[in-house]
Amino acid sequence: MIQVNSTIFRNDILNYYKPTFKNDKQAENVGQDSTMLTNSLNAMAASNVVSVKPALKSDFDYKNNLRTMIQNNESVMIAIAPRIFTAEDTNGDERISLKLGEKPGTFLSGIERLDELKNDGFNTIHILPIHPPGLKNAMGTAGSLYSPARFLEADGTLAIDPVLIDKNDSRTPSEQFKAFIDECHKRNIKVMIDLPSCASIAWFESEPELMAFGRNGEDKTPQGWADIRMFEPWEDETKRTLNPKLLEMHKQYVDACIDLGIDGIRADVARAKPTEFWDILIPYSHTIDPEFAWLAESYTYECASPQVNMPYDRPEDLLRAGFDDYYGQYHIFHEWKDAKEFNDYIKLNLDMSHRLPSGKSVIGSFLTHDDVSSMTHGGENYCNLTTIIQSTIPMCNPYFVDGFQSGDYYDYNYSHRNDTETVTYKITTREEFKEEGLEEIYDKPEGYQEYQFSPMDEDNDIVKIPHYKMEHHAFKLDIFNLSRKPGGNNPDIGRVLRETLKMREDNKDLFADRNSSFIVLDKKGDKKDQILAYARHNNGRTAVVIANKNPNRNLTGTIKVPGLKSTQNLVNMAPKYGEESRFQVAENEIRVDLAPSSAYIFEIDTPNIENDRKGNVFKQKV
Amino acid sequence: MAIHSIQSNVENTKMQPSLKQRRDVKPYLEAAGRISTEQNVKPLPGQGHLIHDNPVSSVKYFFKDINYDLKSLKNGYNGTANDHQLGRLNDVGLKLGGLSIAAYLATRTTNPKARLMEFVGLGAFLASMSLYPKIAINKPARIIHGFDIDKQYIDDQGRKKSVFQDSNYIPFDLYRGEKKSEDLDVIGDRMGIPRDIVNRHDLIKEQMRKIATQNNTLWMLTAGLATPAMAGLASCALEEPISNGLAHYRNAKYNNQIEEVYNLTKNMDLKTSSLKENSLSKDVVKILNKYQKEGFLPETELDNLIDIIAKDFDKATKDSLESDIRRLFETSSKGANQTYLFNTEIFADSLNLSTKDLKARKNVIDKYIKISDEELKSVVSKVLPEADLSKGRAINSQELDNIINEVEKVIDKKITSLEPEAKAFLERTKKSYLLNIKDKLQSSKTLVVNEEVINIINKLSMILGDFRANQSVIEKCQSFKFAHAPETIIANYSGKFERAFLKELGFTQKELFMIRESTDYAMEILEKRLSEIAKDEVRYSKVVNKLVNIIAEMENALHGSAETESVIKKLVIAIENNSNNTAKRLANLGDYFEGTIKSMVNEDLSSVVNKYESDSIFKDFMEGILANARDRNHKLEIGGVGSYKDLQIANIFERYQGSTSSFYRILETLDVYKRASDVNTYAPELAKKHKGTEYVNNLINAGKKTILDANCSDHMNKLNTTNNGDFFKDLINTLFRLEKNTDSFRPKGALSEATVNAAGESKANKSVLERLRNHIGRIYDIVPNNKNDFVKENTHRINPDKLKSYDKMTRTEKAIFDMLGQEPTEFLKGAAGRKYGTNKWLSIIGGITASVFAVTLLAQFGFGKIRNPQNIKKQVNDDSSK
Repeated sequence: MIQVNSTIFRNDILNYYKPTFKNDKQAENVGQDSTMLTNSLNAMAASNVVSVKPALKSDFDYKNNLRTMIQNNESVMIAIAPRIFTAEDTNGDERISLKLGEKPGTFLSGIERLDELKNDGFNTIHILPIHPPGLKNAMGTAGSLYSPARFLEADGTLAIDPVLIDKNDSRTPSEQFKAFIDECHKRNIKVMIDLPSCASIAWFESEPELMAFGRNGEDKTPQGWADIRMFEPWEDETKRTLNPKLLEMHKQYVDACIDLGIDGIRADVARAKPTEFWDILIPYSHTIDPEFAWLAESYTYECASPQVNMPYDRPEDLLRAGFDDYYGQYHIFHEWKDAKEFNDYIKLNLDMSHRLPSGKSVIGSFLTHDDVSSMTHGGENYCNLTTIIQSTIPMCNPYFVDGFQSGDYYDYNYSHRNDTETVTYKITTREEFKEEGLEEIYDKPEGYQEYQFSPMDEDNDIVKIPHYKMEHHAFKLDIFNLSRKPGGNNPDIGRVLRETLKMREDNKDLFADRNSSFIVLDKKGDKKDQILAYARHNNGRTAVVIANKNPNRNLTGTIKVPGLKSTQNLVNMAPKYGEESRFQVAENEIRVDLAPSSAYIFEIDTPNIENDRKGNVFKQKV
Repeated sequence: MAIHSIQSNVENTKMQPSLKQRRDVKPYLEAAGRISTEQNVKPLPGQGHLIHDNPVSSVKYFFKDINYDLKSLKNGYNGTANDHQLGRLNDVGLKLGGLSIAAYLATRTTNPKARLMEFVGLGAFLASMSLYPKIAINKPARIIHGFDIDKQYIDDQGRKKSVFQDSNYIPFDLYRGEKKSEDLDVIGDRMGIPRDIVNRHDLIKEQMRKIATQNNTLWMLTAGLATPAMAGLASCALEEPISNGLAHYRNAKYNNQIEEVYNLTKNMDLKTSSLKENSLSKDVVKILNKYQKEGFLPETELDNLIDIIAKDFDKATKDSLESDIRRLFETSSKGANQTYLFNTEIFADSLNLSTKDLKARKNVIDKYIKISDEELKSVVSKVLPEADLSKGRAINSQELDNIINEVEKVIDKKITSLEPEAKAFLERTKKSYLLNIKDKLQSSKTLVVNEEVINIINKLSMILGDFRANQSVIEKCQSFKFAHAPETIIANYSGKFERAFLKELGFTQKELFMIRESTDYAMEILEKRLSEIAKDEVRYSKVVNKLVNIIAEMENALHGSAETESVIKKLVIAIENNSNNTAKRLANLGDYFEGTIKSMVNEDLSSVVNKYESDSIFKDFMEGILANARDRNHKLEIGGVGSYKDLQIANIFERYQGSTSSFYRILETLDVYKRASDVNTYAPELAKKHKGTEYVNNLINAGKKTILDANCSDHMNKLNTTNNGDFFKDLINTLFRLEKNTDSFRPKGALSEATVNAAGESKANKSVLERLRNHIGRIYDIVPNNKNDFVKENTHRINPDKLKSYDKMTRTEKAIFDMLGQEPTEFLKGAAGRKYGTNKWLSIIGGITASVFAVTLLAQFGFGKIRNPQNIKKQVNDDSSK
């Protein structure tokens, strides 16, 4: 049984969804209770003001160089979801209740965290989709970020989720977003926006020209993603001619992004569009902004797609089509059974780089918003391990998800419970409606008013009912509901992250430079092959990275480092964390007793290591 | 009623423009025109490739698969196998599991064919699992739809997989058109998909996916029935060739073994000094050595010893051995060395009163004389202080007397104080009592174990150990050639003969059923079918030729090729030599085992020889037609029981005769029907003599009935000639017609010309006919002249003197039973029953298989139907309008 305080509920709904009209008269026509709406908006405005000067256009010198940064492995990314980035959960129930006056994040409020990000060492923000979610048959009570109601407004600007807009600010949504972008740029933080791969159901129904249909008129739902529908990139796949409308929309999307000063796009499920599509769109973006960067959400080569209605994944094709970097497979690092798999994957990427234009790279995707929290794989030490690893491997732009800095488990206590507030709804059949016992409520005189049920469409035998369930993917960043600001209880992860990224920045010649070689080191005594041991070498400098992949137990072994002298002093360049490990230097080797999930970086004096490890030296294409 | 969204203002709201537009925005939905991508980056070809269908790749991947499976097994064992490897291990597990089950079941039978069939069954099942989808689904699907639904590919990791294994994971981009069957456009043409529709490949792929899924579903639905049914049929079809192959292989193997044992037994060294230790002698000596110290063998141990030594002998030989061995032990302690077994039990038993006189005085004895257990112990401890009487001990005469004396002393003490009159009576009673004890103790003779006994028994064991080793080989060979088990030569050819007979006579399944159920019907239809065949020269010739061929083949399988010495003869000689030489060896030990020797050979060892000068004589012997009984050295009777040697030999020829007689009787039946097909030529002289053909017809009818149905136990009823001796003689003379001018000592049957011609010209076949003639002649001599089965013996005997030429063995009812073989009616009945059962099983399983195949094939014509074909048409139009 759904129990709602109808008055509060309706007002909150209206507050949340009040469109960002400049002219309030238009707004007055939307809800019946305009007085209450106005009051509510005023109340929210009082608490939602951010002391940032809005900027219609950039009043400082700025030049995008994100593409070059990525090509040089210099971008350090963090993914944020603006509607939760600065959300204020005052009662600690982990969800944002508008009726209680709690506030979701907005672009303007997000500005207040930019210094924090900068201080952490991030120089690129990946903003998860900002578009208004489609609400019909949506996931969660706020709708999925990846189920957009539309990309663009009629004027060609980006469609922005109203919840991201500060209603008390006089600027338009685009202006508010622009203000956020400008503040990023002022701090030399690049902005990369997420381009969803699919459409919401509402959009699917309203613009079928863009959408994919089966030969018998059925929609194409990517398997497992019931709230979205596939775009149709093809006019004729056999003849490989493209859908002009969809391509045009994406071009306009690129235009809108570049108009706002966005530095690049992260293409969600990039395989949803063909190589040729990207090979038109990406060069198009470069005609306007040659530094406009493209990150493909693409993981690994697939012979065929395991997902119905979704093409197979082919990272190399996407990179050939113009993407600058791609996600890769580091998110399954914890599943790799030994160091060999880890080394092989790095070698696979380095090998691929030689088949591509130089500068293509992978992101350090040890955690993405689609993955369960790194905390679940081994806690704080494991998180620190992944930070150090992705900061020291070749052909990699480090990548993090907001909340990682303090060890968020993304374990929301409201998960899958019902909320009393929602903006999403389901269309159900009359029969199901009866079965759920809702008809009785509906039949009361106050039914519609009380419960916001839409009248029945008896001709089509359907009923529209609010969707209260707070779906959430366990241990993953919530993209379906209005939830708390990401963050956990392990701030030391942030310290390690800051210090590691600082160390990386200071030693880019070793860890970012494409000339820096990756050298796999031999080991002995590591029966299960759980010790990661590799060296980076450039211009006579060598850093050796030694890590324990096992989060549960100490490992001992001997790392063979040819040319290493027994007098070599080992100074850890990485921040200290976790339990102590022990090292003993001998001629040409380092004997180790490594604590669980520990990672160390030592600069050593082995100028001839590349020659000494011939056959085990790998380089990114320069 | 319209639906109003809760937040109807949200999705339909457009942002108010605020940023200065830098260009005119044209609604993207208005974009039009074909966007060609010819100049754009194209996807790379998929990694991996389809496996082309050719023998080279088949062989290559056969070995690669084995290698991969082994690697998977290793990784599985180490716990590092991936999903694909585990999937493959499922197949490996199935095969290994199947092998284990087959191996286990094979151990549950001693029949080599049954053992082999366990593995053949598994092989047939696995082959059916693989072949059924190929034959019933994949090939038809390829013909109907133009592509291979079982296409395999190598993925980017180098693993072999099936393209359509998972309908949601199909690597269509590997269809690069390298072959026609891998060209989507060609496949589409075959499917009848128009060339000019939008996104044709998509539809083709969808159809391929659908068809493959439908076919895979069909496979899953039907495999459960079709696979075991196919496996059953395949096993059934393979049974005969396997049986033949196995029989051929085993025949060669056993022929070699016969050769070896023949040479071994022929060259047995008769000197006892050259005997060698063997497992039997080791076991026996071990037992005897255990008792040498004590000097005697307990009775139970003697039983045990005899069981070990006489194992596998017949009852008579075993009894003889027991008697001889016991005597050997007992005689070793005779005379001055006489000893007696003494133990607590025997001593206590000796105190029991045995004579009538003593029993009458029992009360007195119990009261005044009988010694108590305590007294008994004191006597023993005095005379035999160190003896362990629980095990017993051999005592000599002196010790026996000492015991009696001590007992007397004990009794004396008891009666000393009695009145003189009573004392005198008791003195007498005491004497009788002591005598009673002494007699009893003396009756318990010791089985003496000394060096001499051990030496003789050791030698006996060596001799019998050798004998048993040879015998073991002989019995295996004999069993393979003549036993009843289905895989033996005789049984194998009986089966062939039976099947050929049924086939040539041509019975429907209904007829087979009725034959199985009714003897009358069997006789009726057999008579009808034989009469038809007799009138048809071609059919007759074919039937006779086929049956004669089978008998000739059997002879060859039994005896070996005609060019070499008969293997069976060698086997029989090996039996003789093994027994004869063993008996001679025993005789060389001394006169200890005379009884055993007699039981084994029952002949004068000084003159015993093998008397088969030639194969021909041996074969005569096998068929029981050795003319002079006095030449025979095989006497089956020793006080009613045959010698061990003779029993074994009799076992061979009786089994042989039993089978061949049944074959000959069928041939004789055919010949009789052939002769009877023309009443004018059947017995023209008799027709004339008895004024007309009616008499001959009566003879023919009675003859047909006789040959079909008569057996040794009821001649009188079958022939119905009790009161008509003349008719009986005419019947016999026409039924078993003899060749003229035949050797009166060995008469031969006269066969019709058609039978002789049908048998063919080969030496082996002619030999079969020759033996058939002998067989008829022997029946003519023995059966009608035997007085056992006829009331009026003189009236119903043709030439009683003839019987004198045959030994007693030949004239027993058992011998006649063997000679007559199985009646054709019963033969047919049994054969029809088996054939009916097999046919019925085949029709059920075959029906299931055929139905499944038919349904499977027909169903495929319904696969791949395009729903809403108008959509395709519409797309054609839409496309052409652009």
